[in-house]
Amino acid sequence: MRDTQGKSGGIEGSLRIEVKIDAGVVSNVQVCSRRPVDSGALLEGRPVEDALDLLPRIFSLCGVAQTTAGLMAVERALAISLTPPQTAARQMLVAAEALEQTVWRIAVDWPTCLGMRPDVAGIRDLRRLLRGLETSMFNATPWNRIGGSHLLPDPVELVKIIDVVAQQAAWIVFGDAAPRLDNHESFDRWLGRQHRPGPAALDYVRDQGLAAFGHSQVDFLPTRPDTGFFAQQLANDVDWSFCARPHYHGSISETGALPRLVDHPLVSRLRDRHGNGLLTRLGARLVETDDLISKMRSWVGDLSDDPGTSAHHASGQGISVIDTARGVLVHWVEIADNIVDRYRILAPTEWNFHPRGPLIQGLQGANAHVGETLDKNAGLLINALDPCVGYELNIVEH
Amino acid sequence: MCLAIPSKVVEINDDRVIVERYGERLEVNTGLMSEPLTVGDYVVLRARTHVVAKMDPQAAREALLLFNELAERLADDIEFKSNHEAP
Repeated sequence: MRDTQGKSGGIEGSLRIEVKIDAGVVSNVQVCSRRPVDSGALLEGRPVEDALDLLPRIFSLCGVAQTTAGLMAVERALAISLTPPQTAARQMLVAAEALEQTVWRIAVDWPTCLGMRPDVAGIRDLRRLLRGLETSMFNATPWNRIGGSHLLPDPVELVKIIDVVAQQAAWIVFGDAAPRLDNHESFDRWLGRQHRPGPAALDYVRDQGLAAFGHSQVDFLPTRPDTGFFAQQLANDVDWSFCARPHYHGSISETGALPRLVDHPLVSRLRDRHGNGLLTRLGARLVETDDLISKMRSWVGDLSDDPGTSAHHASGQGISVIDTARGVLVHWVEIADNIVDRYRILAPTEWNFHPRGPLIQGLQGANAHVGETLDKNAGLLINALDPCVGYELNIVEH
Repeated sequence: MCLAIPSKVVEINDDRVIVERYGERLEVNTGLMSEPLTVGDYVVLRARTHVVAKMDPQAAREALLLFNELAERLADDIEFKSNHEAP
């Protein structure tokens, strides 16, 4: 996803990552972000329902997660309690989008980084399958309504779709002989035996001695953080500086697959051996595909016919914190008489590409001459930390 | 925050197309699309490399108005706003 930015690139934003090498070691790393962190302002001054309808149009690549976060923040502001079936249905849609994004990273971005052919056809089929989930829960009704839409789930069809999705995702990610992810020996045996584009990146990392490359000791953002802290920070974020350079109770933090799955047996084992290096991070991504599918299966049982809930208030403040493919996404809204007065969005990229965040710390001091090229190694680390925009990587050797 | 800026298809070459947005041309892959594209269609890109969705022209028009609004908020040295016309 290396990028040469033009004018439209200016709107969608980008990361420019400058790396300097002295005597074979990375001596300096700088991240310059040109992302529009104030995009929440586009929603301000609009009726609440109109503003929410805009979210999937602005963020149509992660539109489900952004829309869900927006709905939940508005529902909190208007004192609406979403029913458990409606919550499960939204979780299902957010997980489906996260699965597609995660598999994309593995099958398209990792091989592209290494100069290999990506598996675009596999992703196309997966996307087609995932689209069936929404129809099997909401029929033809739009799902993105405040208080929830008319939910009419077809559990048999949903299970059937998830089974096929699981097969397709496993083929793309693991090849024809998936390892047991609760068993590190099975994982070790699996490495090096697949010729799929995704596993090839892990083979490269292992074979080139890059398992611990990019290790950092940045704190992990909790998957269920203190929403009161975020509400206070975002309510006072007049100049958008917190959205641009977030912290969690004063700590620079990392979010995403690794923090989310740090207690998984395989991820924990990889971390014991290689710290937070590349093999642990890429391994966490593989585990995530399996984890998302397991969650999707579990939510089927929480679904039932449900008409949704109506709003009784017209003003208030609300916050939502949801887990997305790239990490924790926060929306905060202030509503006055059904008009959005203020809106703030805090995206995962701002944590992981913070000027003192895990990318900077992971590259600083790294051996520049391991593996084939620093360009490839740094590219894999950037993709493992999963920015939601393109990046330009410039490496200068003195 | 992966913004979905509508891009107009201006040329088709097998599984790649040339799209234009805000005066900038990009060559992108259409391998993810199961429906055919024609010149004049509006599409959404992922990471400036792949077409991920075809857009209804009305939705594209509305989205471009929004992105023009966002453009106004950005730095003065980005001159895309004055160069773009909505479909």
